[in-house]
Amino acid sequence: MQSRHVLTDRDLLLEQLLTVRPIGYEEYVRRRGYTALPTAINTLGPSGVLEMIKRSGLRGRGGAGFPTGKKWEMVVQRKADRKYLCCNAAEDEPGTFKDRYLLRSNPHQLIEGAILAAYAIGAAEVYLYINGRYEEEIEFMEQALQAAKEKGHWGTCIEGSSFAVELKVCKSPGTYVAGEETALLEVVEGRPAKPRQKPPYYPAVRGLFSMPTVVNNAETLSNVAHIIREGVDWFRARGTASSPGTLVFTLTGDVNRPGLYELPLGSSLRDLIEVYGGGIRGGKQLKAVFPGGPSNTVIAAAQIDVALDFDALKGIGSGLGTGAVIVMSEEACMVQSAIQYARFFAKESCGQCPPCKLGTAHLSEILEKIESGRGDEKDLQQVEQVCGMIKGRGYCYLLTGASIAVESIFRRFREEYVAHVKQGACPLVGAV
Amino acid sequence: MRLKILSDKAKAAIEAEFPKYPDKRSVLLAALRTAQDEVGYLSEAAMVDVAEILDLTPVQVYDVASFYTLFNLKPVGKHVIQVCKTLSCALVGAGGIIEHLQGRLGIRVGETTPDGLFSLKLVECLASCGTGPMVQINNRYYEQLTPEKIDRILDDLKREGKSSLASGPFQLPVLGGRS
Repeated sequence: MQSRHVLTDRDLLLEQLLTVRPIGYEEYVRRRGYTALPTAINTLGPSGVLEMIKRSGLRGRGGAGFPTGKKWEMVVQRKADRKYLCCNAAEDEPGTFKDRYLLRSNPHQLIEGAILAAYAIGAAEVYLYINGRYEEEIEFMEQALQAAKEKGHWGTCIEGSSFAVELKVCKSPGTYVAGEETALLEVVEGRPAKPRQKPPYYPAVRGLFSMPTVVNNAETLSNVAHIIREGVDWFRARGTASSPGTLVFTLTGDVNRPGLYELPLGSSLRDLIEVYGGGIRGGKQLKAVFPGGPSNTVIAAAQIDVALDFDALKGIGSGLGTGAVIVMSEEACMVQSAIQYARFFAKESCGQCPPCKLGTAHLSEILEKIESGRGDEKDLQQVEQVCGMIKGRGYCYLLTGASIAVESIFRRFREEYVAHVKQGACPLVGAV
Repeated sequence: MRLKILSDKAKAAIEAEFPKYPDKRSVLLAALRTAQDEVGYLSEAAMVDVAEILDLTPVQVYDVASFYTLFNLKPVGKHVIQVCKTLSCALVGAGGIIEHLQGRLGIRVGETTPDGLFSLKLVECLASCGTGPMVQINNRYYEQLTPEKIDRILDDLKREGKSSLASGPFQLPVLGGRS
């Protein structure tokens, strides 16, 4: 099957590429880039762009899968002096590295998408919020912005109209919670990355500098120009009815070929692991997969025929998240895996909500005790107890994500936890 | 007021960010990066200077500086080695890389070598999950590491202050699909 890729912005067979040639301004234009913008301004108007994105069924690629058109519409409906668009390329979720390559390989499709989104929602200012560690990518993006500005694609009098928009790069501090939608707003305002309490006010109502704000993931915005240029039917030709289009999956862990794979939504997890990823490393057996990063439940080897789309994964109690697929072989210790996640969340907690600050640290301690072989029956009970206590608490999703991930590993691989306690050591690596 | 430690060049770089935002406070993170790049870490004098430039109180600056692990409030080595230890890297051997670094450098995680050349830190995901195990040393990534590769990188850094083993831009793990 042929698939137009947001990764490379062209039709190509799903073939393995070992290098990527960055698409510069001339090449982007040769591929009919920056043609969606005049169409939008001269023919569609802001409401026409919004309408197309709504009909396309594009869903946010940042983890929640919220319909993009709906998100935009909420801001369009607000009356305000100023409105903002933030492009979220903070990317700190374990297993995720797609934004880095989207920024590297094709910055102009993101720029054009951001300008179109700003046009549709009536924002005059766009912050491209990029992981501050990506120095090369940021430099590349700055050059692309400069080239696009010189050609009159953003700034004032865009395409000869009265539409004006400013695009600016803001570096994220490279911590997980700083990619949370409202923590991001705090960072741009120059504060510690502490998520805001919501309800009552969501970014669409009171966002950046208290103004209505749309926050879209970099991959989401990378799809926008293609949809406006090629049409809704073109976009909907791939993927499923409720999850149209493609997704850039990042495949990591115990597979032969970890990497980035852009596939139509609804592709099977088995194909991603076996066909694209080349199967399990060292000819080992598959044990478990995190199909959607660390904030969704783990699934067992028997479930890998599931379709990779928002609803199918939700149907089996998990989620697609950002498409970060982490694969674990029979040699992976599931107590260790849970510790990895618990420690990650404990370290990345912003510390403002006590259940999160204390709960994630406590979870790490119990799990480390079990892994070391010093755990007992009471510790096993505590894992589930603590997960139950902290779920749904706090201002943001971090804590719930942590508890969902750890609880699911514990429940699905309970016998491994029991074995640690009975043997007084990790059955896979021995006493620590 | 005269600045205590930051140069006029750093001040100009910070002020160049002002037009991006409706208020000066939003420039704080960028200003702290500039200050840290110039001084090597965020000393009290550097934070007071940033407060002065942005019309903030030193406490407001400290509140933000101390929140982020990105900012060093104490002096660090010339080369700060940050090892990713999150799951995807752990599955492909980050643990062995950490052990090897500690052995080679003769320091534990969180410490700096007596000659002030290297500091060793553990960090969470650096978005190089397809090319683990990996480290970030100052502003460069080093990927698909082995103990031998680590040795060569450390030797290079000691000798020349940089290493050709740093990942170049546009190197990909695997991009695309069926091989």
